[in-house]
Amino acid sequence: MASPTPDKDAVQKQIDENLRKIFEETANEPIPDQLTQLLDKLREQETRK
Amino acid sequence: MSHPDPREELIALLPSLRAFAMSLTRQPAAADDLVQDTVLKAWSNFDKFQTGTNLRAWLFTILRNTYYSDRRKKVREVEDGDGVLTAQLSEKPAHDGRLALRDFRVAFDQLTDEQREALILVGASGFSYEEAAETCGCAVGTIKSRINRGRARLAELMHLSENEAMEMTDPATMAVISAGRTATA
Repeated sequence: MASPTPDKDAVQKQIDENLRKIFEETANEPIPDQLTQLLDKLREQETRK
Repeated sequence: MSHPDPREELIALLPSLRAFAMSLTRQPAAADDLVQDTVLKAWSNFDKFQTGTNLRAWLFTILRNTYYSDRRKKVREVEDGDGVLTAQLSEKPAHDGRLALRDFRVAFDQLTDEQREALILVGASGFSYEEAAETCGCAVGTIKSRINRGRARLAELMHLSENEAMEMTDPATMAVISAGRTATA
């Protein structure tokens, strides 16, 4: 709930809330295949060393 | 093994690396390319990583250095004219008194890269000011001032300046508030 008299703190809180939302939106996505495949390849090379 | 393998830790940090990349590039394809380059650089430099130090800050530093050096290389073909993005903002904040996420994103995109990264590191990824300063290679005070300026700019773009803050409240709530005020006056 927004406070009845929104002040600087309330504004800041809403900003931080939105920052977290946009961050988490990407952070919660599954890792793309392209990247998992790259890591698999890198790890494979590592074990062969 | 006393320390966890940084190669394994890196995998756990991929989601936040992607989110950080996205906040810098604002383009999913470019963000994934950036993460891929970061992973490759990290992998070939793991011997330089000091075990037991902050892997997250180390990786984020590689990512941002890669981003800024790519950016320098590129001729800025499209300088967004001030008006273009501003025009996409809706006139007023959402009626329910919350910032509409879409509008927030448009406003966020208008900040400088330095403001965006400082806000994302401290405001969303849970970095301390010190960690963010280390990651960005600048003073703690610089991080703080980028955050303050970024927040002020966002508030301004979202019509959230303190004078206009009452606009965040919907008419019904407004009526209740002003009725309350009259009653106590």
